[in-house]
Amino acid sequence: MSRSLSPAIVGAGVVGLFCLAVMIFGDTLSGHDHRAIDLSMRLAAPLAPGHLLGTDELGRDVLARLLNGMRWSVGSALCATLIAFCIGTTFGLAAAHKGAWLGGALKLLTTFTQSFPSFVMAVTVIALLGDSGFWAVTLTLGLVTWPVFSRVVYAEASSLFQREYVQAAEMTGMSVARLYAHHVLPALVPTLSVLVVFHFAEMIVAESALSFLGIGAPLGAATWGAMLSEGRAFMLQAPWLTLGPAFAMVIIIVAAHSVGQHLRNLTR
Amino acid sequence: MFSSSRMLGGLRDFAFVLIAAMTVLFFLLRLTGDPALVIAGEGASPAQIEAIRVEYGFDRSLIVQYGQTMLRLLQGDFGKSLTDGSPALGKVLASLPATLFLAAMALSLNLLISLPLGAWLGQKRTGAARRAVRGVLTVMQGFPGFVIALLLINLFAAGLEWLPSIGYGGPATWVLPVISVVSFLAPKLIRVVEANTHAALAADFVRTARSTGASENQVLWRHVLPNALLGAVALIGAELAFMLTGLVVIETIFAWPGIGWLLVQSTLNLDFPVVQAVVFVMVVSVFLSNAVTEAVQALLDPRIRSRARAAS
Repeated sequence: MSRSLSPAIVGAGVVGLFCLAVMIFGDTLSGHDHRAIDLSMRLAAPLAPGHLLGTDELGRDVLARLLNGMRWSVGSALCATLIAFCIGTTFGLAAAHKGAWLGGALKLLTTFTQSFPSFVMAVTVIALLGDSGFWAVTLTLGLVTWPVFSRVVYAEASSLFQREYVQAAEMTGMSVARLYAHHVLPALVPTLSVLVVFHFAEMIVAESALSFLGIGAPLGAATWGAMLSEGRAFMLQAPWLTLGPAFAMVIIIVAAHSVGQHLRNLTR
Repeated sequence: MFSSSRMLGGLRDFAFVLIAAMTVLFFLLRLTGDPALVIAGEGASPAQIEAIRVEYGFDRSLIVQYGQTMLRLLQGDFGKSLTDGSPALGKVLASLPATLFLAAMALSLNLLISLPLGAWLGQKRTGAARRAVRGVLTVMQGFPGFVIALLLINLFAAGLEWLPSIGYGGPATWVLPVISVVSFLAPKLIRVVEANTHAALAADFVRTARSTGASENQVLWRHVLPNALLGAVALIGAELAFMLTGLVVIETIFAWPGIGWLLVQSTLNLDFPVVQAVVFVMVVSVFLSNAVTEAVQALLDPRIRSRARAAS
């Protein structure tokens, strides 16, 4: 693998910077408010004056809605990934370090999450949290998906604790904090960084699927899933309503995948 | 071939997961909605709702109700659908064939495409054709299944009007759902077969086979491909389990009357007995598909067999 930057990783970097700009500035980047209704400009095709990506059935700017959806989806996916990462890594490490029964529990839990439909979990947990808002969706996604991390961390860390240098460090009385900081966590960084990036892409899909089904985002909010769902009624007249969010999602996911692939190649 | 202790362990885990799933489900559903309101329907007076509560036993404590529900489940009694009064389990079993049919077709097509393509890609790292295919796969991996489904409907059903967009009738209605499922499962499987083929070609046993004078074809068919397939079995099993629980959105988009669609409908309608029956059937089918996967692995791989024998 050459050390030079591949076009894929440069592209991913551009997408990342764009994401950052959208997270900060939101729909103002498009020059429109994503909620502004203009009935004189209904279903305008892309490249219409003032509307780069066209307008929807209420004359709202598609680009502004896409950017707003990006803020929501990317923000939610980032936080959900962080939640899953924290819980999963902690549990996986604990199971690998201390414990016969924790490891067994982890296996059962993995089987449980594999067979329990995440849709039901998401609907009920969102209903329990009481509002269909950002944090309800994000918490749900994080709480439903953390076993992905614990399973991998458990497998990696288990073999790590068998290594002589780790056992030697433990025997010489190194404190647990130092042991983790110097020997355990650094060894997990390669695997975890790849996993985080791929999980982020999965979370983008999961969040959009939920809001496509009308769960999660408040009614009428401009999220990618909701836009896809609303655009279905205008598939023939105005295909840009579905193509816009579809390709926005694909670009983010492909960018995340190429970062993950690059990290994997670097650490190999 | 299977040691009895392993099977007992598997059954014990299965029983635990099944009980845990039904328990979690019971409390989640009860905490989120009031079944009495669903049965009474809109516009019922408070007195009517109260009467229903007493009639169905919803006025008793949650723990007592939980115990009763689990006892009934143990006897195979899933209750009746709150929306139309038909037996809940019957409703699920009636929609199971549609899901199994979709899963079986998608699985077969996936194997037909992924195994040869992955093996072909794994043989060499260079070449314009291979690089082009890899590029297409990378982009395809970025498409979520339900987005592919929407785009396919956009193109073939709404735009060109070649195929029906929704429903479950003749072969014409099967095409789009199957392609949607395959096009997001296949890239993963192709990648795994590719990586395994590549790894097997570099393994010691291939060098040994070559040095004993085996032809390239013999090396490929006798030594490389069997090993590459072995590594793919776990992923095929995981994809099968995923199709039995995870096709919720695809089935909804195509109005495909399978258990995923039933799950969405019953969850949104707060039809608790049906949700319970769907989840029960899903847990059982994931367990069965995992068991089949393990059996196939043991059948194909002598190492797993001997490890199992050593452990018993």
